[in-house]
Amino acid sequence: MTRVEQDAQSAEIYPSADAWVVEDDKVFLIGSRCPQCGKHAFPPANFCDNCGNSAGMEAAKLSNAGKLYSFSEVHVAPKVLTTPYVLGYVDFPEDVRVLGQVEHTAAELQVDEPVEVVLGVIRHSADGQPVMSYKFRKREEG
Amino acid sequence: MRDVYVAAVGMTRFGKYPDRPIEDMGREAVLNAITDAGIQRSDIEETFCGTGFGGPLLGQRILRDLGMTGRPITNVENACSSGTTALREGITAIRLGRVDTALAIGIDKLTRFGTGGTVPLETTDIEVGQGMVMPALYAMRARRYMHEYGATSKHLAMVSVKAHKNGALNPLAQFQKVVDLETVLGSRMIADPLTLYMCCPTGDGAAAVILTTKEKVQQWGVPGIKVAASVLQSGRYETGFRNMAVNELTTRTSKLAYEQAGLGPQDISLAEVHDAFAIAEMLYYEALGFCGAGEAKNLLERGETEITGRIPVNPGGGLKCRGHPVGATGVAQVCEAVWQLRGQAGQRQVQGAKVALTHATGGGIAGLDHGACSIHIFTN
Repeated sequence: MTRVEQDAQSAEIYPSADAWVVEDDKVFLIGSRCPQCGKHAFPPANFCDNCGNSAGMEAAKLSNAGKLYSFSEVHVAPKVLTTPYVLGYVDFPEDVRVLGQVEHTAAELQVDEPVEVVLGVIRHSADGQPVMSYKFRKREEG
Repeated sequence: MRDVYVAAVGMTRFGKYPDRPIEDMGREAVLNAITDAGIQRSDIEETFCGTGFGGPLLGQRILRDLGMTGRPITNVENACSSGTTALREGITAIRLGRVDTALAIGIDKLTRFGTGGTVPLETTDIEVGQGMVMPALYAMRARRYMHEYGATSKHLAMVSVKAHKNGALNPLAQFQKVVDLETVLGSRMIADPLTLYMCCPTGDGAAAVILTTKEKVQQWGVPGIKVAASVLQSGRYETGFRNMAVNELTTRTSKLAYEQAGLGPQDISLAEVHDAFAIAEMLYYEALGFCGAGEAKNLLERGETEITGRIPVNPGGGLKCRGHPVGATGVAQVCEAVWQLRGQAGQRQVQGAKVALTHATGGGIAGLDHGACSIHIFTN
């Protein structure tokens, strides 16, 4: 086992390992879709807040990219986070908004620019273990 | 339904008092209100106590040593609207005829978490898990608002400069110091574009309000301030697109409040609004109907929200300078509204004040604008 594999083994996953899938190096968030009205949600919902359906939502793979609605470079936060870090709201084509950390400084970013989903460390647990989750990065051209 | 009046108000000076028990602050506010009314402790029939972080049975912990337990006490939590949610319960109890006189307390002690930093949020929340803190939420609103309407950091700084100007005139404010634009813009970054001076402080404090009927106000011979509207709403859940340059929750709550009062934004003499961060005050000028979408910057540039302006906002210094012990804030806003309507606001008096609006909203929860929003309108 390589060092990198060991790190990945010891990393805590947030919110859970089934929150995304990786296909052809692309990361897709797994949300839910209401079979009755078609509304998507992330994180996956157990009930539909739109049509009142509570008979079970379907798992739904979201697009791997969206638009950065807004963002902020955060300089004051609880100790488990390493400041500064950038937070942003990303709107996916399925009409789902997801908050996540963005792998750029605020100066490198613009409102409404396309970003894609990647994986990375978002904070450290109380005992110092890295916590891995989805993050966002400017979309590669082409 | 019966009309309800504010018979008396009282509060502590807000600030950082790590060594002072929270119960002791609560008793000071309650006794100030009872003295203000000139009544007996036994005249209070029922108490509602709002706190964000004060812990269980806080109303009982405050009132026990005053010999005021034995009657109904209800403790409520609703984030930044905790105090005015308690107030609304007191108003409702009197409106419906359950009691004639009720006490509402708003109180918190944030120095229990340390003397600075961000307020603790619920860690089971998916956004908190990703690193959300309250300044970041408002900062993202600010960036989008500035993008949509061409407002700048200077406008954000103007909100803070006004808050400090007013706070310097309020002996109960946590900060009583005038600052200039350069100081606000040059202070350290908290969550860009919000600098330290664009964020309210953490702190400790308590405020109390005595509510009663028209008959009791006359009997006691106190200047009654009428409750013209008392409205509470919660945020709507939205999993997809939300326009962060508009505050849907405050817009909706204010419409209900104006309807209940039979008044409109043009009738408001002064407003105490929830300026937790400078951008919030700008968003709320628009949500409360004091100007149109994107026009908050014009109000600031023309000085219309100054104490001497067309629609004075936060003459008491706002959360920025009075301080923001979460649960206490809404009730402290009501104290300020009452002093203004009685003509007792000293150097920060809004001349000819007849109608005052208070607005307390907040609570970070994924998918909602905010957890709760409460708006009250008072007339003299």
